[in-house]
Amino acid sequence: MSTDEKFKSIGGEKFWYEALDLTWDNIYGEAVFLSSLYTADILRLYELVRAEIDHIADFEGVDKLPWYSKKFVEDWRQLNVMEVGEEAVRLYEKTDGPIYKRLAPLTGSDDKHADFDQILRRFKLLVKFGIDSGVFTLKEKEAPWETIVSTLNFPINKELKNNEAVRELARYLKEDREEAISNAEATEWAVLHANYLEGLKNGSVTLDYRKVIKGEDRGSDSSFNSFTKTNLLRTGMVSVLYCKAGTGKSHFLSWLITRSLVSYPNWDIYTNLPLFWFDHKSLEGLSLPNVYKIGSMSEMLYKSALSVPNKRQPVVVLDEMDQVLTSRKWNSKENLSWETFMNIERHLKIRGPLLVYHVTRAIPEPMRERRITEFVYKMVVHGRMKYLYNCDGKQKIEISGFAIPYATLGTFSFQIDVDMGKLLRSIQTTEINESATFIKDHINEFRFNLDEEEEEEKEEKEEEPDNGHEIDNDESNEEEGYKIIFKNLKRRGNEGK
Amino acid sequence: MESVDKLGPAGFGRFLHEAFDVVQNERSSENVVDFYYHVNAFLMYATIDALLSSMYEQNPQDTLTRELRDELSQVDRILGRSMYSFKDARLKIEDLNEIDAIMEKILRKLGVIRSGTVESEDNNECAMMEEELK
Repeated sequence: MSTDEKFKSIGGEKFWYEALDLTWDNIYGEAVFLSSLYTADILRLYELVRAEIDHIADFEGVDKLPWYSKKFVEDWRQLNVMEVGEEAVRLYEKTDGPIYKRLAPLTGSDDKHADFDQILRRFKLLVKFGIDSGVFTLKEKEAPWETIVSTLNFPINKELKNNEAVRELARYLKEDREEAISNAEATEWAVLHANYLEGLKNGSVTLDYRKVIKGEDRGSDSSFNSFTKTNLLRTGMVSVLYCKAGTGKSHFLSWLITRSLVSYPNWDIYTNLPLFWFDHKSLEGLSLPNVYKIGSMSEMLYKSALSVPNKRQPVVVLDEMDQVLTSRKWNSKENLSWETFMNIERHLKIRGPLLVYHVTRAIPEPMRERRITEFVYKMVVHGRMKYLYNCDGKQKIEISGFAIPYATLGTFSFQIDVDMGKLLRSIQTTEINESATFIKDHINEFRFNLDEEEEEEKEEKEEEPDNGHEIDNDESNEEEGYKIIFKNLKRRGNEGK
Repeated sequence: MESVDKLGPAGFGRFLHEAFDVVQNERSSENVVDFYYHVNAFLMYATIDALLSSMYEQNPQDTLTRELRDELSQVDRILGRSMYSFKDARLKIEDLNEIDAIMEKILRKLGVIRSGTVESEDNNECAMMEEELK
């Protein structure tokens, strides 16, 4: 171990800054009215410096001192020489040892006092030692932004482009994206998908994450995997991703699913992302294992309950949450509804759901205000690159590389159609398999009928007068007007419960 | 998480920044007195002197360091003597104003005092996110 390293292993910067603060305050406190000060004003800082020098000089010899300590010893001696002359310093050293071991100037009548200028000169040398040694530095240690980049590899068999299903997928892709994609690009994407699927089946897909700091590759990194498990798709916890339209939120979900299937083969992923094979029987051969379509909360709970007895982990990712169709009963107690929902999904150890929005106002308030989840993330486009921002971790994840094909048109809407309070009260067990069995067998009993609610709402609107809440002054209409007010009040009362 | 060196108002930079704030406040609150004790200005001067001496000794060829040392030497020229030769901390208000201006210039050139935004684009994205979610 070099002497420099030895120095840095002793003490902490905190003590040095405290000593500097104290020294500054002490000098200020006295010099604000006096010209003769106490040497004790700078004692704390001096003791720190001296201890750093002594512990090497006394045990290993002055020659072993680091350069900044040697410089301090030299400068301190020079200062005393300047104040009292070479002869006086030499005389002192002959009897008392090195002058750096003495704080007080040799000019004073005692060791306790020093003039303002003498204190100031000593203060400068003490601060300089702190700077020279690296304790006081303008270079702060700050965590830099890290970029996580993924590399997905799988063997390519170009012959697959002749596969009928692959050609069909390419046709759907072209149809969906029209001018945004060429025939060749659509075919290439479809072929890549078929190869990825082959790779998944025979275990030949490899996935590597690397950390990049300021453009420099810092090697393999596993932090995205832990971020996925502890934040983005945490068990029993809602997380939110938002980004402006066109930023590529569906692409991100597709990208995430593509990678999750490689990293977590025991996950069953439930999503409303419009994957072509969900709708087209002819593409069945290209459908991904362990990825299933869901369109409602009840379906999500039912299907997740099916994963449990098979020892598989249900994971939910939901696109287009801005378009969600929600029961009025859910909305009226949104905060409680989401909390109750999370209690229920914990019974099944569901990961997520990861909810994707493109309008921040559409994010339910309890989430936007981080009341029920702290996991809110955004996606950003910088130039041609897309990033998922993890602000707390000062990390951005580059969304690049292969992602499974998905449709941009005809997104599947999602319905929130379960009376969570009633369901939670009815689950009488904490055992995961028993909970799963109960939910699988009884979920229909807890469904809201959203179509019925919609009809009711229509009827109510039809009954309301055109001028809203105004009542016609005509006596014959008075009774009808009160009825409407009463009905409105009653409805609001119910919603507030 | 890995860390790298970054010049900024933390550590010693923050200390200098805060100390300079004190010097400024002291000047504005006591500038009615023509000749008064301005200890903080002396301590600030000694601290900057220590910093520039250290920088100079470690890299005597560095143009910025030489330039800043020249700036600091202006203080002695204004006073007509060394700051270290004062027997007490009293200074004339007009001298103090000039000394403070020199020290501020040095601290700005060192990057200790910065005006405008210092946040990186990435930090801005996160700040914007907080705004967007409100």
